[in-house]
Amino acid sequence: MNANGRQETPGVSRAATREWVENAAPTGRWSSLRISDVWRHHELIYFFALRDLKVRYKQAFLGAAWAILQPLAGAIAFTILFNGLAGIEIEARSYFGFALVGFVVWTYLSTGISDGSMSLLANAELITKVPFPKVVAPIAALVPGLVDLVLGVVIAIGYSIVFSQGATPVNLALGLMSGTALLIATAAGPALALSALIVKYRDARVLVSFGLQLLLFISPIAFPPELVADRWQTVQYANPIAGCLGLYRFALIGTPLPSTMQLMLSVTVALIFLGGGLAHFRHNERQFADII
Amino acid sequence: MGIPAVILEGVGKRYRLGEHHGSGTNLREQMVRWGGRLLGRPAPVTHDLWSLRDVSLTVEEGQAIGIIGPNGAGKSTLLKIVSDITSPTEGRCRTHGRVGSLLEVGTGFHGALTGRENTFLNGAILGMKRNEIARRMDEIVEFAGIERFMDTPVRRYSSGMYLRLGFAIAAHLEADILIVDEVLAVGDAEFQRRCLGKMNELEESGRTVLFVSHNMDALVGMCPTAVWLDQGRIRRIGPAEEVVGEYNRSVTLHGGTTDLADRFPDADARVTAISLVDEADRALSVMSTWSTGHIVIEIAVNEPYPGLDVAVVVINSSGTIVLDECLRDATFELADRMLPGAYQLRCPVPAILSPGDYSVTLWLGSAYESGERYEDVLTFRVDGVDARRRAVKLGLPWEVIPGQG
Repeated sequence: MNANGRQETPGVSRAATREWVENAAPTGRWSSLRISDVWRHHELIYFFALRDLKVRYKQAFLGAAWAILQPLAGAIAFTILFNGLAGIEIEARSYFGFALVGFVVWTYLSTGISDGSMSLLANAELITKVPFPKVVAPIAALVPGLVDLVLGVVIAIGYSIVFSQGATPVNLALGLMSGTALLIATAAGPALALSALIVKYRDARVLVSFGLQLLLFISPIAFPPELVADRWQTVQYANPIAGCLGLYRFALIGTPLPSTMQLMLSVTVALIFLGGGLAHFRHNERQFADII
Repeated sequence: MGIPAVILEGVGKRYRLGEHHGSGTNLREQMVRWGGRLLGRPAPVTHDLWSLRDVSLTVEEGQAIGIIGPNGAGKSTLLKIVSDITSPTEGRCRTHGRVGSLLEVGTGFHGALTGRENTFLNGAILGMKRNEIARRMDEIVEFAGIERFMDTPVRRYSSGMYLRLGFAIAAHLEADILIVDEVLAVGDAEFQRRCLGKMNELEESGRTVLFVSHNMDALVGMCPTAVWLDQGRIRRIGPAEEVVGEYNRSVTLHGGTTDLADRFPDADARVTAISLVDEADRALSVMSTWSTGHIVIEIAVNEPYPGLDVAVVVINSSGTIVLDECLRDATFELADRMLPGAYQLRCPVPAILSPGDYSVTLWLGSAYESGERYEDVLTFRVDGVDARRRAVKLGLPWEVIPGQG
């Protein structure tokens, strides 16, 4: 495959547009992130994602209903546990709506991170036999979850309107757009880093499931962020999931937006993880075919 | 000198055995290793294996080059480096133009998806744009010859259909440099013919081709130039026919003779050695479809052995007995006159064997004694192309009679 990937104009000799592509020994230095390379292969990302979606729904009995049942069931369980038994209340909002949004966001994150980190291993045969941009695999693994996310958001909007929880068009547009961007960035960093790590060390898989469990408990999914002691209020936004939840809840159930400081902290940390994850991926990708 | 399309400069590829070998390392092991290094313990012993070393080669635009060599010579590694699947450990490889790589056909197909869905997916993986695939879909379907099954999940495909579709997609990739590894070793006769035809067509239209094959006839037919790799280094490069000829001779120098002196030492008569030789009496283990040879059997007769007989049984890789010849059928009197002593028996092997691997079993006995069997004492290969599934190729003389029927 030509790394310059230009469109070939009919009638114009291909030779005129060709460039030399070099395959040399890795220097050991950290290489460029080549972010534009990800965009250039957006069609392949689309086909990978389409494959995973089609495979998921082709032989499914309930099909898309799962995407609706999962967060609903989770939110019901959380309401019974944390609201009913532990007595956690949300100021001026129903706990169920609060937990529902939390679950929709969490489902996207956890499936994105776990599918993304397994994506290279799942395509091991391709990696050893076909030259293709490997970064496409973990990125594409983040796409199918978006379908569930959209369905979950629709349910949450419906709930919010029916029980007048405070979803307004402006809140929705602002909160969902920024929240989703942050959400994808938050999932992409660990997915990239872990997928590369798992190629080398298979037992890093344990790290993924353990890490996700830990994240589920420390992120404000079942409890409101205000529950945390005052001096930890801002610090907890160093976990970008807190930022995502803040934006989504602002959009869907009209809770107050986290402070600018808190949001900036979440965004910065997510971007550092994303950059670090991509750098780790780029640094290791040239040896994937040899060690997978 | 034409314009270069692929330039390899001092390319070497090292694999570390004992580290990251096979399916991943353990995180704990790595921690122990790091800990050990902190304490000043030496790193565990690893063995380096240079799969490729110091390979420099320039392939010109439109040139077709065949790559030959025994297993483990580094042929596949070379193709993987040119395809940019793996990086060299030293040196560099530069390519000019879009590289289409057929190291395996149908890699990346998903069983649950239909033929059409897989065509888009596979085409995209190989580097085609969506509109390019859509534009060539009809050609691909026609070449694969599976129109009726394009909307069937590929897991219901026969292996032949699967391969046909895989090759059809790859062959329609508009590549400037085509890299092909043994795709022809699989699939049925019809499919192989189409593949070869398509590759010839691509070559004639000015594509640069790098072709690895054990099928020397196909290779010579397609590539005017051949590179002979041996233990990771280029041993010879030159006109394909010459290089292939020399390579075949070198292969035949090894082995081809089995020493049986220690078998049944107390028997009245026994076989002491067996070999396969060519017309010039050189021992060989590979012969081509058109060459004849002899199976040479050394026997020692210790005591008079009335009715002595020896049989040669040649079995092909699917277990069919292709030849079963015995001495007494041929020379009744000579066999009867074998007094104690050493003899050499020569059984001709005509040029009728189909390409494949064969094993030879011997029997020495008589009408009165069940004798001894020497199972699988010699194996040899017949190299060549014969896509038809037949045990022997005879080339029988047909007749055409006009005006009948």
